Amino acid sequence: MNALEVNAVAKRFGNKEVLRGVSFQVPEHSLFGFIGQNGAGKTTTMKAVLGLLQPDAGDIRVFGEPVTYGNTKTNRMVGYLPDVPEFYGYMTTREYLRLCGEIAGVPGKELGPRIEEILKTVGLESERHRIKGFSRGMKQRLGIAQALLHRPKLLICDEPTSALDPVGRKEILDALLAAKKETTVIFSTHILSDVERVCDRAAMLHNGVVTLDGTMEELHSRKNGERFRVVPKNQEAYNVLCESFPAFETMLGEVGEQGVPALMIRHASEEDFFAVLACIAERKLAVEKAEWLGATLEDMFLEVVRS
Amino acid sequence: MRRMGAFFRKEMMELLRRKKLMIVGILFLLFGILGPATAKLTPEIIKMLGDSSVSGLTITAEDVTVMDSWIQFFKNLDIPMIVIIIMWSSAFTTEYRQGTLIPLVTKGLSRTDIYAAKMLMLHLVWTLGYLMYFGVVYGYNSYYWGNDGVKHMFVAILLNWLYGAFMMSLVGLFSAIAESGAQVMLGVGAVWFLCTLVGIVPKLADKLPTMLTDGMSLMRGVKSPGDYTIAVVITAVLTLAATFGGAVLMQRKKL
Repeated sequence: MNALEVNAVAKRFGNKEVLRGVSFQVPEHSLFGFIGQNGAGKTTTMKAVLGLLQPDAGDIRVFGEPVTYGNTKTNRMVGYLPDVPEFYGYMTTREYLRLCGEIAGVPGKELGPRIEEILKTVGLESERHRIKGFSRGMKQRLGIAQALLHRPKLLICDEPTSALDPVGRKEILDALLAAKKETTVIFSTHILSDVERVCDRAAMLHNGVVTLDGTMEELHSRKNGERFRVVPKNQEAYNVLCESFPAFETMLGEVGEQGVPALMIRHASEEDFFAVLACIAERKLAVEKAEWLGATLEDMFLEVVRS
Repeated sequence: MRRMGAFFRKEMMELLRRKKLMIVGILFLLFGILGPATAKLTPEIIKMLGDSSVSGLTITAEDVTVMDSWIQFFKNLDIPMIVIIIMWSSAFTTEYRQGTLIPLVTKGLSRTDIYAAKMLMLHLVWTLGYLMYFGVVYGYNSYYWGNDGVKHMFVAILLNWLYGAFMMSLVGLFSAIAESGAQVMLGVGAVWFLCTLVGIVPKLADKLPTMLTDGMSLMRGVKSPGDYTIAVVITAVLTLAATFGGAVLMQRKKL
C-alpha cells in the first residue's frame, strides 16, 4: 500500500506557478527523500499534503484517504515537522508534548511514559526549562519529538537538517532512520548527501514537476547519468582529445597537476570509453587520470537543474 | 471536546504565564476604585480650590450623589475594554505568524476548536473582569451613598456587558480574516466608528449596539428597559453573526 499518493497537483501563487502537476508515490515503510532547490515547491507540496494549503488541481491521498483542505481527517495518521518549528515559549517540553498528545488522542495513561520515552529518543530528557531559551537544534529535536509522539503512520519532515551543524544533522538523520522502523518517513532537503546516506527512495522536484523518481538503486543505475572523465597531463594531450572527440566538455573547475583542465563526456557509452582509451594508447598521450564515473545524485540533480 | 479542552488549558497557561490575567485584573480593579474615588473627591478638590481664595471666584459644588459615581462607571469602562481588545487583537494573528498552530492542526486539532477555545477565553476574561469592576464600584457606592435611588441597575449593567460581548465577538471575526493585530484593531475600530456615524441620525441611534452603553438613562429612570429592546435584539444578532461568521471564515484561513 502507498502511504502517500500525490497525483497531478498544481498550485499557483498569483502569476507564479509553483507546482505544475506534481505526481509521486511513497510506498509504506520507505524513507523517502524529496529533493529540490530552495524555492522548488517542496514546502508547498508538503503543506498541500497536510491540508494546510488548497491545491488548484490534482488530488492527494494518505493511505488511500483523500486529503481535504482545512480540517483534514488524514492528519490523524500524520506527524509533521515544519522547517522552522515554533512552539509556545512559556511552556516546558513536557507541558508542550502533553498538549500535543492530548490533541493527537494519545490515551491519558500512555501519555506520560510516552513523553519520557520520546524525550529520551531526541535527547531532551534532562531539559526542564521553558522552550523560550532553546537553540535551533533543540527546537528541531523537540519538533521531531512532537511529530513522532503519537506514533504516526506517516512522518513528514520539511528540511529537518538544513539549518544544523554536522553533529546535529547526524543526530536528526539517525532519528529518522530509527523512526523508519515504525513508520513511513518523507523528508525534503537540498542536501543530497543526506538522501544518499539514509533514503531508500527519492524524487526530485524541479520547475514544479517531479523530474526523477524511484528507488535509490533505480536512480543510481540510470545510464544517462554516467560519465567518463579524463585529466590530461599536458596541453598537447588536451588538444588531441578535444579534436578527436567533440563530445568532450572542458571542466574548467577541475584542473590537473599541470594546470590543464579535465575533460568529460556526459551520457557516455562503453564504446566512447574504449575509443578514448584506444586513442590515448595509440597516440601515447600523457594522461594523469582516465576514469569511469557512476551517476551520483548530485550529477543527476545538476543535470536536471541545468537542462 | 478533549482536543478543545487541551487547547483551552494552553490558553489558560498563556493567560497566566504571559501575565495577561494580571494586567486585565489590575486594570479593572484600578478603574473600579477610581470611579467612586473621583466622584467622592471632586467636591473636596473644588472646595480646596475655592478656599485658596486666590481668585475672587466663588466656586460652589453641588452635592455628589451615587449617580455621579455611576457616570464614572460607564465612562471609565472604555479604557479596560480597549486594553482587552488591543491585547487580544494578536491572540490569533501571532499564532498565524509564528506558525505555532501548525503542529497542533496537523495532529487533528480543528479550526473550530481553536476558534471556540480562544473566543471562550476572551468572553470569560471580559465577563469576569467586568463583573469584578462592577463589584468594586457597587461596593464603594453602597458604602458611600447607598444604591437605593438607582433604577434598573442590573439591566443597565447587563446591557453594557452585552455591548462588550459584541466588541469581543468582533475581535474574533476580524482575527479569522486578518494577518496582523493592527488589522484586527482597525476592523473593530471601523465597526465602532460606523456605529457612531450612523448614531448621528436620531431615528437610528436607539437601534444600535452603542445604545447599550447608555446605562445612565436607565438608572436615572429617563428610559425604561423596553426602550432598549430593538438595540438588544440587533446587538445579540450581530454578536452571534460575528461569532459564527468568524468560525466559518476560520475554516478557510491560511495558517
